[in-house]
Amino acid sequence: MNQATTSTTISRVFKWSMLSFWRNRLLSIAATLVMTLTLLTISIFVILNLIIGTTIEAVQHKIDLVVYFNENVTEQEIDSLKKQVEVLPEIASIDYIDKAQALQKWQSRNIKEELKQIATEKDNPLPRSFEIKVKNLDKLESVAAYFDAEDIKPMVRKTSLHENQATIQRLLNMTNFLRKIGLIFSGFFILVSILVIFNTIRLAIYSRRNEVEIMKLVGATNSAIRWPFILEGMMYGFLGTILSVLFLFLGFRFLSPVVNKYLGEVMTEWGGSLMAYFWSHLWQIILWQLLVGFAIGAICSVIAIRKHLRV
Amino acid sequence: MIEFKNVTKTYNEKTKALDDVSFKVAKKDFVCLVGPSGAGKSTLIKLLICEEHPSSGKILIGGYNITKLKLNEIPYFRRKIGVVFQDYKLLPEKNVFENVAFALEVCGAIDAEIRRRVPKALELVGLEKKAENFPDELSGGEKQRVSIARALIHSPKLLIADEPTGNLDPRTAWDIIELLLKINERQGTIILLATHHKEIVDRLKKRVITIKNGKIVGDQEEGKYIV
Repeated sequence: MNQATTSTTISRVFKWSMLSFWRNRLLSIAATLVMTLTLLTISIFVILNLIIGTTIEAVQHKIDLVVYFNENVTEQEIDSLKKQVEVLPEIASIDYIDKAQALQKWQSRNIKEELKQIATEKDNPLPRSFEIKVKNLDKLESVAAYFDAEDIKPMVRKTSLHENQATIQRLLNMTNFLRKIGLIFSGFFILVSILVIFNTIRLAIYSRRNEVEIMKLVGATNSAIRWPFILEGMMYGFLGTILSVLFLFLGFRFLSPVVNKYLGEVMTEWGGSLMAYFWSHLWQIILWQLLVGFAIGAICSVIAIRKHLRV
Repeated sequence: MIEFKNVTKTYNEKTKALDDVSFKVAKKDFVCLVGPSGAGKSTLIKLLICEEHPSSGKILIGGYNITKLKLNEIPYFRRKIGVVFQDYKLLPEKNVFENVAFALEVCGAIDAEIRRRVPKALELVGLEKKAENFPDELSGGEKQRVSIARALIHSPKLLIADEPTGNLDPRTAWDIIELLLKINERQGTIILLATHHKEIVDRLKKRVITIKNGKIVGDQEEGKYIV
Protein backbone atom coordinates (compact mmCIF):
# COMPACT_ATOMS: atom_id res chain seq x y z
CA MET A 1 0.00 0.00 0.00
CA ASN A 2 1.51 3.34 -0.94
CA GLN A 3 1.39 6.47 1.16
CA ALA A 4 -1.62 7.99 -0.57
CA THR A 5 -3.81 4.96 0.05
CA THR A 6 -2.60 4.64 3.63
CA SER A 7 -3.64 8.18 4.48
CA THR A 8 -6.91 7.72 2.61
CA THR A 9 -7.56 4.58 4.59
CA ILE A 10 -6.76 6.27 7.88
CA SER A 11 -9.04 9.22 7.18
CA ARG A 12 -11.80 6.81 6.12
CA VAL A 13 -11.41 4.78 9.28
CA PHE A 14 -11.75 8.01 11.28
CA LYS A 15 -14.81 9.13 9.36
CA TRP A 16 -16.39 5.72 9.78
CA SER A 17 -15.91 5.51 13.50
CA MET A 18 -17.15 9.08 14.08
CA LEU A 19 -20.22 8.27 12.03
CA SER A 20 -20.84 5.12 14.01
CA PHE A 21 -20.38 7.01 17.27
CA TRP A 22 -22.93 9.58 16.14
CA ARG A 23 -25.44 7.09 14.80
CA ASN A 24 -25.54 5.22 18.09
CA ARG A 25 -25.18 8.42 20.07
CA LEU A 26 -27.34 7.39 23.03
CA LEU A 27 -25.32 4.23 23.48
CA SER A 28 -22.12 6.12 22.86
CA ILE A 29 -23.00 8.63 25.57
CA ALA A 30 -23.76 5.80 27.98
CA ALA A 31 -20.45 4.13 27.21
CA THR A 32 -18.60 7.43 27.55
CA LEU A 33 -20.19 8.14 30.92
CA VAL A 34 -19.37 4.70 32.23
CA MET A 35 -15.83 5.17 31.00
CA THR A 36 -15.74 8.55 32.76
CA LEU A 37 -16.90 6.96 35.98
CA THR A 38 -14.28 4.26 35.70
CA LEU A 39 -11.42 6.64 35.06
CA LEU A 40 -12.65 8.92 37.82
CA THR A 41 -12.83 6.06 40.31
CA ILE A 42 -9.35 4.88 39.46
CA SER A 43 -7.97 8.41 39.67
CA ILE A 44 -9.63 9.09 43.00
CA PHE A 45 -8.35 5.78 44.31
CA VAL A 46 -4.80 6.52 43.25
CA ILE A 47 -4.90 10.07 44.60
CA LEU A 48 -6.47 8.92 47.85
CA ASN A 49 -3.65 6.47 48.23
CA LEU A 50 -1.16 9.27 47.70
CA ILE A 51 -2.85 11.45 50.29
CA ILE A 52 -3.01 8.64 52.81
CA GLY A 53 0.60 7.80 52.13
CA THR A 54 1.65 11.39 52.75
CA THR A 55 -0.52 11.63 55.85
CA ILE A 56 0.94 8.50 57.35
CA GLU A 57 4.40 9.77 56.69
CA ALA A 58 3.52 13.03 58.39
CA VAL A 59 1.92 11.28 61.35
CA GLN A 60 4.90 9.03 61.53
CA HIS A 61 7.07 12.08 62.00
CA LYS A 62 4.76 13.50 64.60
CA ILE A 63 4.17 10.54 66.78
CA ASP A 64 6.87 9.98 69.31
CA LEU A 65 7.49 7.15 71.56
CA VAL A 66 8.14 8.86 74.85
CA VAL A 67 10.07 6.96 77.51
CA TYR A 68 9.90 8.54 80.97
CA PHE A 69 12.60 7.75 83.50
CA ASN A 70 12.40 7.14 87.21
CA GLU A 71 13.83 9.85 89.45
CA ASN A 72 16.57 7.59 90.84
CA VAL A 73 18.19 6.92 87.47
CA THR A 74 21.52 8.71 87.04
CA GLU A 75 22.47 10.90 84.11
CA GLN A 76 25.29 8.47 83.21
CA GLU A 77 22.87 5.57 83.03
CA ILE A 78 20.60 7.54 80.76
CA ASP A 79 23.53 8.63 78.61
CA SER A 80 24.77 5.06 78.12
CA LEU A 81 21.24 3.87 77.38
CA LYS A 82 20.90 6.59 74.78
CA LYS A 83 24.07 5.36 73.07
CA GLN A 84 22.69 1.84 73.08
CA VAL A 85 19.35 2.84 71.65
CA GLU A 86 20.68 5.26 69.06
CA VAL A 87 22.22 2.45 67.01
CA LEU A 88 18.96 0.52 66.67
CA PRO A 89 18.06 0.43 62.97
CA GLU A 90 14.37 1.18 63.55
CA ILE A 91 15.05 4.53 65.12
CA ALA A 92 15.00 7.74 63.16
CA SER A 93 15.96 10.06 66.00
CA ILE A 94 16.21 10.13 69.74
CA ASP A 95 16.22 13.24 71.92
CA TYR A 96 16.97 13.39 75.57
CA ILE A 97 14.72 15.79 77.44
CA ASP A 98 16.23 16.77 80.80
CA LYS A 99 14.37 18.35 83.70
CA ALA A 100 14.90 21.91 82.46
CA GLN A 101 13.64 21.12 78.99
CA ALA A 102 10.70 19.20 80.37
CA LEU A 103 9.78 22.24 82.43
CA GLN A 104 10.10 24.50 79.42
CA LYS A 105 7.76 22.25 77.45
CA TRP A 106 5.33 22.14 80.32
CA GLN A 107 5.27 25.91 80.60
CA SER A 108 4.79 26.39 76.92
CA ARG A 109 1.78 24.09 76.86
CA ASN A 110 -1.58 25.66 76.51
CA ILE A 111 -2.99 24.82 79.94
CA LYS A 112 -4.43 26.63 82.93
CA GLU A 113 -2.14 28.85 84.97
CA GLU A 114 -2.71 26.83 88.17
CA LEU A 115 -1.66 23.65 86.40
CA LYS A 116 1.47 25.36 85.14
CA GLN A 117 2.34 26.21 88.73
CA ILE A 118 2.54 22.51 89.64
CA ALA A 119 6.05 22.48 88.28
CA THR A 120 8.53 25.25 89.01
CA GLU A 121 12.30 25.49 88.78
CA LYS A 122 12.61 24.78 92.47
CA ASP A 123 10.07 22.00 92.67
CA ASN A 124 10.13 20.09 89.42
CA PRO A 125 8.35 16.72 89.50
CA LEU A 126 8.44 16.40 85.73
CA PRO A 127 10.31 13.27 84.65
CA ARG A 128 13.24 13.16 82.29
CA SER A 129 12.47 11.38 79.02
CA PHE A 130 13.53 10.18 75.60
CA GLU A 131 11.51 11.42 72.69
CA ILE A 132 11.89 8.82 69.99
CA LYS A 133 10.90 8.92 66.36
CA VAL A 134 10.79 5.64 64.50
CA LYS A 135 11.46 5.15 60.84
CA ASN A 136 8.49 2.87 60.32
CA LEU A 137 5.27 2.81 62.28
CA ASP A 138 5.12 -0.96 62.16
CA LYS A 139 8.37 -1.11 64.13
CA LEU A 140 7.10 1.05 66.97
CA GLU A 141 6.12 -1.90 69.09
CA SER A 142 9.48 -3.61 68.79
CA VAL A 143 11.22 -0.40 69.83
CA ALA A 144 8.86 -0.11 72.79
CA ALA A 145 9.57 -3.71 73.67
CA TYR A 146 13.23 -2.84 73.85
CA PHE A 147 12.54 -0.73 76.90
CA ASP A 148 10.66 -3.62 78.43
CA ALA A 149 13.82 -5.69 78.66
CA GLU A 150 14.92 -6.92 82.09
CA ASP A 151 17.94 -4.64 82.47
CA ILE A 152 16.22 -1.46 81.29
CA LYS A 153 12.78 -1.91 82.77
CA PRO A 154 13.68 -0.70 86.28
CA MET A 155 14.86 2.64 84.89
CA VAL A 156 11.64 3.31 83.05
CA ARG A 157 8.63 4.79 84.77
CA LYS A 158 6.36 4.75 81.80
CA THR A 159 6.39 4.60 78.02
CA SER A 160 3.74 6.63 76.28
CA LEU A 161 3.39 4.20 73.44
CA HIS A 162 0.26 2.73 74.95
CA GLU A 163 -1.51 6.02 74.54
CA ASN A 164 -0.55 6.40 70.90
CA GLN A 165 -0.91 2.80 69.97
CA ALA A 166 -4.66 2.94 69.54
CA THR A 167 -4.48 6.03 67.35
CA ILE A 168 -1.81 4.52 65.20
CA GLN A 169 -3.62 1.24 64.88
CA ARG A 170 -6.82 3.02 63.97
CA LEU A 171 -5.01 5.02 61.33
CA LEU A 172 -3.41 1.93 59.89
CA ASN A 173 -6.72 0.10 59.95
CA MET A 174 -8.47 2.97 58.25
CA THR A 175 -5.77 3.14 55.64
CA ASN A 176 -5.98 -0.53 54.85
CA PHE A 177 -9.75 -0.32 54.83
CA LEU A 178 -9.73 2.64 52.46
CA ARG A 179 -7.24 0.90 50.21
CA LYS A 180 -9.37 -2.20 50.09
CA ILE A 181 -12.54 -0.24 49.43
CA GLY A 182 -10.78 1.74 46.73
CA LEU A 183 -9.47 -1.40 45.12
CA ILE A 184 -12.88 -3.07 45.22
CA PHE A 185 -14.61 -0.02 43.78
CA SER A 186 -12.03 0.41 41.07
CA GLY A 187 -12.22 -3.24 40.16
CA PHE A 188 -16.00 -3.13 40.17
CA PHE A 189 -16.14 -0.07 37.95
CA ILE A 190 -13.59 -1.44 35.55
CA LEU A 191 -15.66 -4.61 35.27
CA VAL A 192 -18.93 -2.73 34.77
CA SER A 193 -17.36 -0.38 32.27
CA ILE A 194 -15.85 -3.24 30.32
CA LEU A 195 -19.24 -4.95 30.18
CA VAL A 196 -21.12 -1.80 29.17
CA ILE A 197 -18.55 -0.75 26.61
CA PHE A 198 -18.33 -4.27 25.29
CA ASN A 199 -22.11 -4.34 24.91
CA THR A 200 -22.21 -0.91 23.31
CA ILE A 201 -19.70 -1.90 20.70
CA ARG A 202 -21.49 -5.16 20.11
CA LEU A 203 -24.69 -3.25 19.47
CA ALA A 204 -22.85 -0.82 17.22
CA ILE A 205 -21.50 -3.75 15.28
CA TYR A 206 -24.93 -5.36 15.22
CA SER A 207 -26.52 -2.20 13.87
CA ARG A 208 -23.91 -2.18 11.12
CA ARG A 209 -23.86 -5.91 10.46
CA ASN A 210 -25.06 -5.39 6.87
CA GLU A 211 -22.16 -3.09 6.29
CA VAL A 212 -19.77 -5.58 7.84
CA GLU A 213 -21.26 -8.35 5.70
CA ILE A 214 -20.90 -6.28 2.54
CA MET A 215 -17.38 -5.25 3.47
CA LYS A 216 -16.41 -8.89 3.75
CA LEU A 217 -18.19 -9.68 0.51
CA VAL A 218 -16.32 -7.08 -1.50
CA GLY A 219 -12.98 -8.14 -0.05
CA ALA A 220 -12.24 -5.79 2.83
CA THR A 221 -9.47 -7.17 5.01
CA ASN A 222 -10.25 -8.00 8.61
CA SER A 223 -8.16 -5.13 9.88
CA ALA A 224 -10.04 -2.71 7.60
CA ILE A 225 -13.26 -3.88 9.24
CA ARG A 226 -11.85 -3.98 12.74
CA TRP A 227 -10.14 -0.60 13.00
CA PRO A 228 -13.19 1.66 12.89
CA PHE A 229 -14.67 -0.21 15.82
CA ILE A 230 -11.40 -0.14 17.75
CA LEU A 231 -11.25 3.59 17.14
CA GLU A 232 -14.82 3.98 18.31
CA GLY A 233 -13.91 2.18 21.52
CA MET A 234 -10.90 4.42 21.97
CA MET A 235 -13.16 7.40 21.37
CA TYR A 236 -15.02 6.51 24.58
CA GLY A 237 -11.67 6.49 26.34
CA PHE A 238 -10.79 9.88 24.89
CA LEU A 239 -14.07 11.57 25.79
CA GLY A 240 -14.11 9.78 29.13
CA THR A 241 -10.70 11.24 29.93
CA ILE A 242 -11.82 14.78 29.09
CA LEU A 243 -14.89 14.46 31.30
CA SER A 244 -13.10 12.71 34.11
CA VAL A 245 -10.29 15.31 34.23
CA LEU A 246 -12.94 18.00 34.25
CA PHE A 247 -14.78 16.38 37.17
CA LEU A 248 -11.49 15.83 38.93
CA PHE A 249 -10.68 19.52 38.52
CA LEU A 250 -14.05 20.54 39.96
CA GLY A 251 -13.71 18.07 42.82
CA PHE A 252 -10.21 19.22 43.67
CA ARG A 253 -11.24 22.81 43.57
CA PHE A 254 -14.06 22.11 45.98
CA LEU A 255 -12.03 19.85 48.27
CA SER A 256 -8.73 21.69 48.19
CA PRO A 257 -9.49 24.12 51.05
CA VAL A 258 -10.93 21.33 53.20
CA VAL A 259 -8.00 19.03 52.67
CA ASN A 260 -5.56 21.87 53.25
CA LYS A 261 -7.19 22.55 56.59
CA TYR A 262 -7.04 18.89 57.48
CA LEU A 263 -3.50 18.21 56.41
CA GLY A 264 -2.01 21.65 56.90
CA GLU A 265 1.75 21.67 56.62
CA VAL A 266 1.81 18.24 55.01
CA MET A 267 0.62 19.91 51.85
CA THR A 268 3.90 21.74 51.44
CA GLU A 269 5.26 18.49 50.09
CA TRP A 270 2.60 18.69 47.43
CA GLY A 271 3.37 22.19 46.33
CA GLY A 272 1.12 23.90 48.85
CA SER A 273 -2.37 22.61 48.08
CA LEU A 274 -4.38 19.93 46.39
CA MET A 275 -5.00 22.36 43.54
CA ALA A 276 -1.29 22.94 43.08
CA TYR A 277 -0.82 19.19 43.02
CA PHE A 278 -3.50 18.91 40.34
CA TRP A 279 -1.88 21.52 38.12
CA SER A 280 1.63 20.18 38.49
CA HIS A 281 0.52 16.63 37.72
CA LEU A 282 -2.09 17.52 35.08
CA TRP A 283 -0.23 15.91 32.17
CA GLN A 284 0.50 12.80 34.14
CA ILE A 285 -3.18 12.49 35.11
CA ILE A 286 -4.35 13.02 31.53
CA LEU A 287 -1.81 10.62 30.08
CA TRP A 288 -2.62 7.81 32.47
CA GLN A 289 -6.34 8.21 32.04
CA LEU A 290 -5.96 8.21 28.26
CA LEU A 291 -3.85 5.11 28.44
CA VAL A 292 -6.32 3.22 30.63
CA GLY A 293 -9.31 4.51 28.62
CA PHE A 294 -7.77 3.56 25.29
CA ALA A 295 -6.84 0.14 26.58
CA ILE A 296 -10.32 -0.65 27.89
CA GLY A 297 -12.02 0.68 24.73
CA ALA A 298 -9.72 -1.04 22.29
CA ILE A 299 -9.70 -4.39 24.05
CA CYS A 300 -13.51 -4.43 24.27
CA SER A 301 -13.79 -3.67 20.56
CA VAL A 302 -11.37 -6.35 19.55
CA ILE A 303 -13.25 -8.95 21.56
CA ALA A 304 -16.70 -7.76 20.44
CA ILE A 305 -15.88 -7.84 16.73
CA ARG A 306 -14.06 -11.14 16.77
CA LYS A 307 -17.23 -13.13 16.22
CA HIS A 308 -18.16 -11.12 13.15
CA LEU A 309 -14.83 -11.53 11.48
CA ARG A 310 -15.05 -15.26 11.10
CA VAL A 311 -15.27 -16.09 7.43
CA MET B 1 -11.09 -21.46 -15.13
CA ILE B 2 -13.31 -22.99 -12.43
CA GLU B 3 -13.12 -26.62 -11.53
CA PHE B 4 -14.90 -28.59 -8.80
CA LYS B 5 -13.18 -31.92 -8.15
CA ASN B 6 -15.19 -34.45 -6.12
CA VAL B 7 -16.41 -31.77 -3.73
CA THR B 8 -18.43 -32.98 -0.76
CA LYS B 9 -19.81 -30.77 1.94
CA THR B 10 -21.43 -32.26 5.00
CA TYR B 11 -23.00 -30.38 7.85
CA ASN B 12 -23.00 -32.07 11.26
CA GLU B 13 -21.80 -35.41 9.88
CA LYS B 14 -25.15 -36.57 8.50
CA THR B 15 -26.62 -34.01 6.09
CA LYS B 16 -24.78 -34.00 2.81
CA ALA B 17 -25.33 -30.59 1.23
CA LEU B 18 -23.05 -31.47 -1.67
CA ASP B 19 -22.19 -35.03 -2.59
CA ASP B 20 -19.17 -35.68 -4.78
CA VAL B 21 -19.75 -32.77 -7.14
CA SER B 22 -17.43 -32.33 -10.11
CA PHE B 23 -17.71 -29.90 -13.00
CA LYS B 24 -15.66 -27.41 -15.01
CA VAL B 25 -16.49 -23.95 -16.22
CA ALA B 26 -14.42 -22.47 -19.02
CA LYS B 27 -13.47 -18.84 -19.51
CA LYS B 28 -16.24 -16.54 -20.75
CA ASP B 29 -18.87 -19.17 -19.96
CA PHE B 30 -22.43 -18.37 -18.93
CA VAL B 31 -23.75 -21.10 -16.66
CA CYS B 32 -27.17 -21.53 -15.09
CA LEU B 33 -27.29 -23.38 -11.83
CA VAL B 34 -30.75 -24.76 -11.20
CA GLY B 35 -32.39 -27.02 -8.70
CA PRO B 36 -35.07 -27.01 -6.04
CA SER B 37 -34.59 -25.26 -2.72
CA GLY B 38 -32.19 -27.11 -0.48
CA ALA B 39 -30.58 -28.89 -3.41
CA GLY B 40 -27.19 -27.41 -2.64
CA LYS B 41 -27.02 -24.29 -4.84
CA SER B 42 -26.35 -21.95 -1.93
CA THR B 43 -23.76 -24.28 -0.46
CA LEU B 44 -21.99 -24.37 -3.80
CA ILE B 45 -21.91 -20.58 -3.93
CA LYS B 46 -20.70 -20.33 -0.35
CA LEU B 47 -17.87 -22.67 -1.20
CA LEU B 48 -17.00 -20.57 -4.24
CA ILE B 49 -16.65 -17.37 -2.22
CA CYS B 50 -14.80 -19.13 0.60
CA GLU B 51 -17.54 -18.59 3.12
CA GLU B 52 -17.52 -22.32 3.77
CA HIS B 53 -14.88 -24.98 3.26
CA PRO B 54 -15.61 -28.29 1.56
CA SER B 55 -15.43 -31.41 3.70
CA SER B 56 -13.46 -33.05 0.94
CA GLY B 57 -12.46 -32.37 -2.64
CA LYS B 58 -10.81 -29.47 -4.43
CA ILE B 59 -12.05 -26.22 -5.89
CA LEU B 60 -9.69 -24.74 -8.44
CA ILE B 61 -10.13 -21.21 -9.70
CA GLY B 62 -7.61 -20.04 -12.29
CA GLY B 63 -5.41 -22.96 -11.27
CA TYR B 64 -5.47 -22.06 -7.55
CA ASN B 65 -6.95 -24.41 -5.01
CA ILE B 66 -9.08 -21.97 -3.05
CA THR B 67 -9.75 -24.45 -0.28
CA LYS B 68 -6.10 -23.96 0.70
CA LEU B 69 -6.37 -20.17 1.01
CA LYS B 70 -5.17 -18.71 4.28
CA LEU B 71 -7.54 -16.52 6.26
CA ASN B 72 -5.67 -13.34 5.38
CA GLU B 73 -5.65 -14.22 1.68
CA ILE B 74 -9.40 -14.58 1.40
CA PRO B 75 -10.19 -10.84 1.18
CA TYR B 76 -7.84 -10.44 -1.80
CA PHE B 77 -9.37 -13.49 -3.43
CA ARG B 78 -12.86 -12.05 -2.97
CA ARG B 79 -11.89 -8.90 -4.85
CA LYS B 80 -11.49 -11.12 -7.91
CA ILE B 81 -15.05 -12.39 -7.84
CA GLY B 82 -18.28 -10.44 -7.83
CA VAL B 83 -21.43 -11.62 -6.09
CA VAL B 84 -25.00 -10.38 -6.29
CA PHE B 85 -27.89 -11.60 -4.20
CA GLN B 86 -31.64 -11.69 -4.32
CA ASP B 87 -31.87 -9.06 -1.58
CA TYR B 88 -29.33 -6.68 -3.26
CA LYS B 89 -27.50 -6.00 0.06
CA LEU B 90 -27.33 -2.25 -0.50
CA LEU B 91 -26.74 0.24 2.29
CA PRO B 92 -29.88 2.37 2.65
CA GLU B 93 -28.13 5.46 3.98
CA LYS B 94 -25.74 5.64 1.05
CA ASN B 95 -26.72 6.83 -2.40
CA VAL B 96 -26.08 4.80 -5.55
CA PHE B 97 -22.65 6.27 -6.17
CA GLU B 98 -21.59 5.76 -2.54
CA ASN B 99 -22.88 2.20 -2.48
CA VAL B 100 -20.71 1.29 -5.43
CA ALA B 101 -17.80 3.37 -4.13
CA PHE B 102 -18.01 1.55 -0.78
CA ALA B 103 -16.52 -1.60 -2.34
CA LEU B 104 -13.49 0.42 -3.41
CA GLU B 105 -13.27 2.45 -0.22
CA VAL B 106 -12.99 -0.51 2.10
CA CYS B 107 -10.22 -1.91 -0.04
CA GLY B 108 -8.19 1.25 0.33
CA ALA B 109 -8.65 2.77 -3.13
CA ILE B 110 -7.82 6.46 -3.38
CA ASP B 111 -10.53 9.03 -4.17
CA ALA B 112 -9.24 9.70 -7.69
CA GLU B 113 -9.61 6.03 -8.54
CA ILE B 114 -13.10 5.97 -7.08
CA ARG B 115 -14.14 9.01 -9.13
CA ARG B 116 -12.79 7.33 -12.24
CA ARG B 117 -14.18 3.83 -11.83
CA VAL B 118 -17.59 4.25 -10.20
CA PRO B 119 -19.17 6.26 -13.08
CA LYS B 120 -17.90 3.65 -15.54
CA ALA B 121 -19.53 0.86 -13.56
CA LEU B 122 -22.78 2.82 -13.30
CA GLU B 123 -22.73 3.47 -17.03
CA LEU B 124 -22.29 -0.23 -17.70
CA VAL B 125 -25.48 -1.05 -15.78
CA GLY B 126 -27.31 1.97 -17.19
CA LEU B 127 -27.68 3.92 -13.95
CA GLU B 128 -25.43 6.91 -14.61
CA LYS B 129 -28.41 9.24 -14.15
CA LYS B 130 -29.36 7.80 -10.77
CA ALA B 131 -25.99 8.22 -9.06
CA GLU B 132 -27.41 10.64 -6.48
CA ASN B 133 -30.50 8.60 -5.63
CA PHE B 134 -30.85 6.49 -2.53
CA PRO B 135 -31.85 2.82 -2.68
CA ASP B 136 -35.34 3.63 -1.35
CA GLU B 137 -35.96 5.79 -4.41
CA LEU B 138 -35.13 2.98 -6.83
CA SER B 139 -37.17 0.14 -8.30
CA GLY B 140 -36.20 -3.46 -7.61
CA GLY B 141 -34.55 -3.80 -10.98
CA GLU B 142 -32.54 -0.64 -10.46
CA LYS B 143 -31.42 -1.83 -7.03
CA GLN B 144 -30.17 -5.07 -8.57
CA ARG B 145 -28.28 -3.01 -11.17
CA VAL B 146 -26.55 -1.08 -8.41
CA SER B 147 -25.57 -4.33 -6.75
CA ILE B 148 -24.24 -5.62 -10.09
CA ALA B 149 -22.26 -2.40 -10.59
CA ARG B 150 -20.74 -2.89 -7.13
CA ALA B 151 -19.93 -6.53 -7.85
CA LEU B 152 -18.14 -5.50 -11.04
CA ILE B 153 -16.15 -2.63 -9.55
CA HIS B 154 -13.03 -4.75 -9.04
CA SER B 155 -13.34 -6.02 -12.65
CA PRO B 156 -13.74 -9.65 -11.58
CA LYS B 157 -13.33 -12.60 -13.93
CA LEU B 158 -16.28 -14.31 -12.30
CA LEU B 159 -19.69 -12.93 -11.39
CA ILE B 160 -21.88 -15.08 -9.18
CA ALA B 161 -25.57 -14.20 -9.24
CA ASP B 162 -27.55 -15.95 -6.52
CA GLU B 163 -31.24 -15.71 -7.47
CA PRO B 164 -30.77 -12.15 -8.73
CA THR B 165 -34.30 -12.04 -10.15
CA GLY B 166 -36.04 -13.63 -7.18
CA ASN B 167 -37.77 -10.41 -6.14
CA LEU B 168 -38.45 -9.02 -9.59
CA ASP B 169 -41.39 -9.20 -11.98
CA PRO B 170 -40.75 -11.22 -15.18
CA ARG B 171 -40.18 -8.18 -17.35
CA THR B 172 -37.60 -6.57 -15.04
CA ALA B 173 -36.09 -9.96 -14.36
CA TRP B 174 -35.36 -10.43 -18.05
CA ASP B 175 -33.78 -6.95 -18.17
CA ILE B 176 -31.37 -8.02 -15.46
CA ILE B 177 -30.60 -11.26 -17.32
CA GLU B 178 -29.91 -9.24 -20.47
CA LEU B 179 -27.54 -7.07 -18.49
CA LEU B 180 -25.72 -10.20 -17.31
CA LEU B 181 -25.55 -11.42 -20.90
CA LYS B 182 -24.13 -8.08 -21.98
CA ILE B 183 -21.46 -8.23 -19.27
CA ASN B 184 -20.64 -11.78 -20.29
CA GLU B 185 -20.30 -10.86 -23.97
CA ARG B 186 -18.57 -7.52 -23.63
CA GLN B 187 -16.13 -8.22 -20.81
CA GLY B 188 -15.85 -11.98 -21.01
CA THR B 189 -16.83 -12.27 -17.35
CA ILE B 190 -17.90 -15.76 -16.38
CA ILE B 191 -21.49 -15.64 -15.16
CA LEU B 192 -22.75 -18.24 -12.72
CA LEU B 193 -26.48 -17.72 -12.42
CA ALA B 194 -28.33 -19.62 -9.73
CA THR B 195 -32.03 -19.36 -10.38
CA HIS B 196 -35.49 -20.80 -9.90
CA HIS B 197 -37.05 -19.13 -12.92
CA LYS B 198 -37.89 -21.79 -15.47
CA GLU B 199 -38.81 -19.26 -18.17
CA ILE B 200 -35.49 -17.51 -17.87
CA VAL B 201 -33.45 -20.70 -18.08
CA ASP B 202 -35.44 -22.00 -21.04
CA ARG B 203 -35.21 -18.70 -22.87
CA LEU B 204 -31.47 -18.23 -22.24
CA LYS B 205 -30.39 -21.39 -24.04
CA LYS B 206 -27.12 -21.45 -22.11
CA ARG B 207 -25.38 -24.25 -20.28
CA VAL B 208 -27.50 -25.59 -17.42
CA ILE B 209 -26.17 -27.49 -14.45
CA THR B 210 -28.95 -29.12 -12.44
CA ILE B 211 -28.44 -30.06 -8.81
CA LYS B 212 -30.71 -32.27 -6.79
CA ASN B 213 -30.06 -33.54 -3.27
CA GLY B 214 -26.50 -32.34 -3.43
CA LYS B 215 -25.70 -34.15 -6.66
CA ILE B 216 -25.37 -32.95 -10.22
CA VAL B 217 -28.16 -34.68 -12.13
CA GLY B 218 -27.85 -32.81 -15.38
CA ASP B 219 -25.28 -30.75 -17.26
CA GLN B 220 -26.21 -29.71 -20.79
CA GLU B 221 -25.25 -27.03 -23.25
CA GLU B 222 -28.31 -25.00 -24.26
CA GLY B 223 -30.19 -26.78 -21.52
CA LYS B 224 -33.71 -26.54 -20.21
CA TYR B 225 -35.07 -26.33 -16.72
CA ILE B 226 -35.83 -29.97 -15.99
CA VAL B 227 -36.47 -30.28 -12.28
